[in-house]
Amino acid sequence: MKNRLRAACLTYWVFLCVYAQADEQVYLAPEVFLAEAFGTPPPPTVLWITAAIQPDVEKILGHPPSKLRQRYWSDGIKTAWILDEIGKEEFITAGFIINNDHIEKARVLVYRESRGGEVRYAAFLKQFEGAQLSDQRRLTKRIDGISGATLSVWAMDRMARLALYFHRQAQK
Amino acid sequence: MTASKSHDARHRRRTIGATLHRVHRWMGVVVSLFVVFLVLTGWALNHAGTLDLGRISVRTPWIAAWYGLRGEVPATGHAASGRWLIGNEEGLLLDGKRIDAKLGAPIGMVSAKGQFYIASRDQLLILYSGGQVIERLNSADLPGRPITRIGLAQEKIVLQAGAAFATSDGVSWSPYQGEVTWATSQPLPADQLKAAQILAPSLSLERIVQDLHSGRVFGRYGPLLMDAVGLIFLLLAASGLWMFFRHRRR
Repeated sequence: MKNRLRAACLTYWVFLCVYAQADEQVYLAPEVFLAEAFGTPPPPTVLWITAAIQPDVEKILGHPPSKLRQRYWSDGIKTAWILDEIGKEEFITAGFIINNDHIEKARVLVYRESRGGEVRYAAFLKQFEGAQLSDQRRLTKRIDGISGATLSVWAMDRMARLALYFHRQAQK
Repeated sequence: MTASKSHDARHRRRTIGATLHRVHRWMGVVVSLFVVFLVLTGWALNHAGTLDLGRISVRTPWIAAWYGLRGEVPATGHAASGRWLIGNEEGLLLDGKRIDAKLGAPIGMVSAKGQFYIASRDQLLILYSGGQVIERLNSADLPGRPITRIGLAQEKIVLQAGAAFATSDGVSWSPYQGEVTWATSQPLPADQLKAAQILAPSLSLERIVQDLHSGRVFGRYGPLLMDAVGLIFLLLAASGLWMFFRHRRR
């Protein structure tokens, strides 16, 4: 009996593992996102998250940054940022195109959480377009949430603010 | 005759009422423990985000064994500049210290200019020797995928991803042809084997609470048990309503 229970649990676990593996949804390949932004993407450059900007980054994210440098692409006027941020447990990968200190486009590239994937829809992402970063490091536009996807919405909000902040730093 | 029939009907109703009352009470006693259990686990799940249950890992051996997870701890690792890297899907350890980054199972590590380059099949992690993550390179940042080997050639880091590509900073890559010292895995020394134990399979506390709530923790028959408890809840509600309205009619 115990063996059968164990076998059932193991089967369930394997199913969950397979299900979890299959959970990673690539909605837009990063290469395609960059091609959308620039046509032919420029070579990447990096922004170092130095001790001077680290407190601001930490304030925006609500936790210390997970890395010391951030890659971006720039044609001199606009910049493209591919950022990772944890929604609930897994990283959400999102792309932001920043032009003249405002968000030109926001896209969800890879979604790994089991719930909250509605943040990928254009109706939600359009809200970010035109948003700028206020002096309090907030977005100048109100972003309406999605029921059941609160943590993913918050993660998108943090990434949008971070992309705007990084853009500002990269332009200096 | 009529009075006797009426008396019989009243007696029957009273007997049914008393039986139902007894059944109702016993059903209440039977499910009371489940109510407490379901309410507590339900509250925990409702506030799982606030309580951070998803990020609390449970490594208790008997729980892992109950779930059928066998202890697959790495027996090999990667050495570079006298430092040991051990890793699997559970995490990465550099000299026994956990690295705050997700990578998957590493295929190799090299060291150049005070930085460590750790490759998995589809990512490259760049670290300072203290373990601080400089950058994690994904598909868009890599010259190709899957990565099959990582090596060193004249202070340059070389990735085998179909063809071989070299970089000196992890940002720009160029095709490379030449001699490469490829990183290989090695059996772990005793102290590293001991450190590797923290990479044993784990479960998130949220997953365990979810399985307790749904009954799945008890295997195939657990959800059926919870279905039965749910049925008793329905019967309780029905008998409770019946008794309530019966009393009001009186």
